[in-house]
Amino acid sequence: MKLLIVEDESMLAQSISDCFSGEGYICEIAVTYAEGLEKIMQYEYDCILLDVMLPGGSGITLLEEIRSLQKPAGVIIISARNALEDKVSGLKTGADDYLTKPFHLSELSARVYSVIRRKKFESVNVIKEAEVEIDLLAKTVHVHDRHVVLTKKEFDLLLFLVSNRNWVSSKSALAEHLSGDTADMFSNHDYVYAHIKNLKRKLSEAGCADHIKTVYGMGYKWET
Amino acid sequence: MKRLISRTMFYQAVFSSVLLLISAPFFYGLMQYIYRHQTDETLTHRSQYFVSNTLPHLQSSNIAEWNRTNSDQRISLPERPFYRPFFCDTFMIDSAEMETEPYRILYTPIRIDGEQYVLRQRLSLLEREDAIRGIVGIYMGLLVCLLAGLYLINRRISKILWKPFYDTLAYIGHFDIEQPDLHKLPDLPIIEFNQLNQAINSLIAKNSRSYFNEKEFVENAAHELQTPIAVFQSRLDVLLQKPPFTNEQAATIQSLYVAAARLSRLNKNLLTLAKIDATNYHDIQQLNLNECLQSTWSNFSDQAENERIKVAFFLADDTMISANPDIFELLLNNLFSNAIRHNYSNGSIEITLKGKVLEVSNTAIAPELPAEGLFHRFTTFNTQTKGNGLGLAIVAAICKKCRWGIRYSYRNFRHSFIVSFAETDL
Repeated sequence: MKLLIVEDESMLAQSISDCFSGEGYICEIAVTYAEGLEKIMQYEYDCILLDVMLPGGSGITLLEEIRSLQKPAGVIIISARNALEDKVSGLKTGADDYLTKPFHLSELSARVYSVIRRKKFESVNVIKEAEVEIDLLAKTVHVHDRHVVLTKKEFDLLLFLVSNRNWVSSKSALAEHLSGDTADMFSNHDYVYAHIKNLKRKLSEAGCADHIKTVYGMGYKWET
Repeated sequence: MKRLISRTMFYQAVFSSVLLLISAPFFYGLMQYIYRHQTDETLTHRSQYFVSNTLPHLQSSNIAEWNRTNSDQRISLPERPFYRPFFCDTFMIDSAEMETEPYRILYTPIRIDGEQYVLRQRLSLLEREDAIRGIVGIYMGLLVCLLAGLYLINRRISKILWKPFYDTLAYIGHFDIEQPDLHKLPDLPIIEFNQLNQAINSLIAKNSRSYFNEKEFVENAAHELQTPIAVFQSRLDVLLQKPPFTNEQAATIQSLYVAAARLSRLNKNLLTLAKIDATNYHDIQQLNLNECLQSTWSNFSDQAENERIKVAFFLADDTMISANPDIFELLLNNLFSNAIRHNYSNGSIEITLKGKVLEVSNTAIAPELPAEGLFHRFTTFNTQTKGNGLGLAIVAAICKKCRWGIRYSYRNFRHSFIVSFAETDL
């Protein structure tokens, strides 16, 4: 999988690159509009991460270029502006998703995973991961063909962790994924632990190996 | 406090009254003088007429006869000799009115048949009482007319002339720097009012500019901060992938996550506050309050359960309001997080909907909060709870923007925030 990161803040671009390289993606970084355009014209990418405010031009214009070149890449806009109009105009121009800074890398990774899956394997709505089968349409989970009954939040957690396989997601990233924008209103995210505990119990009762690892109580990882 | 017009009127009335009072004796004196002068002239004429026309034909035997037919003229022997006519005032009984009346008398020395006589001619003078009564009457009438006239003119003047002033006053009274009236105060033909309007226009322009500069600054600063916060958080995420950590390192990373989350929330809140006024929430929808409350609460239920806070809904029948769903959710988010954050373990939250009035009440460690400054930015009353002091400011800004009522109340150890979606209910 190839990923292009168009972001002028090199430290952030580096973090994103670190994150996706670890998950087996090939990452390239462009720090200006011109560099981004050049790379887009020359190579094919599975997913492009676009900052809106770039030296030399707007990410939205770059997005228009991508769409007019009929590139199949999925595009996720990463912007410091969280105004609704920006979000709507970005999605209207043809972005597949929109993420506001600051964000958790695991959230970005889950979004990228979802965009690529939708683009590349459009008909496939079942994710098979180790002995777990996740049906995205029916929102059901099977382990060794045994149905595991999960709550909505447990299902979301499982999908999020699987999307981030072998990557530690921080407790606050999980909290934000579960509670949306309201999660960072609180500094205590202990409730994530309760959901993780239930999820682990239900999976192991169904005969699933213990893939969910706890990292110093700070984060969780799906390990395979 | 008095109106300017009543002040003006007071001085005008005092001046008019004093002027009339002082002028009355002069007027009386002048009138008396003129009347006496006129009387003297008439008497002199009569005496000259008598001397030239009647006297030549008069004989001493006719004097008694003549005296009888002329009531106001009398010829008699002089008590003492004199050679020039002279005037004198006297009171005489007027037979018709049975009153003593003032008279002017002209004594003229005449000769009839070589004998010395005196011609006494009299003319009634203006009676002092009558004169004073007349003058007082006239002056009273004058005063009443004058005051009434002044009052009417002043009132009219204040209505017409001062109208621009009252317009300006109303304009200033309704001025709200957050939602400035775009039309300026007009140019006026009256110099003073025009100066006033220009001064106010430039004052408002200056203040609005600095207000919006400040707002823009906050917005830009918050935007610029987003990227470094994103870098901070993403580097932490990367760091988290590289165990092993000592317990100390793990604790440090965890506290950095907490700090990053607080920073991010603070920044988001600043942005929200700076943008609420400027943003047009065009998309107005019919919202079912019950559904909104319950679906927004679902984002908080985990947090509440974790703190073992019990929540109770007291909802009315389906209440609909017209509002923008985003701004409404923002309001509920801030009210709910406030109710949880300031609560204690095993506390409770009650969400009550009565008609179009929403009440969110919670138990808390803190005693009753002072109403003063409660909705101001960065007003925090409790250092233990980790709010950033912007939640209630956002709530207040939203209510102001949407013209909803908001108030705080404290009963039975419960803090309540009450939002009225129909302005008049509160």
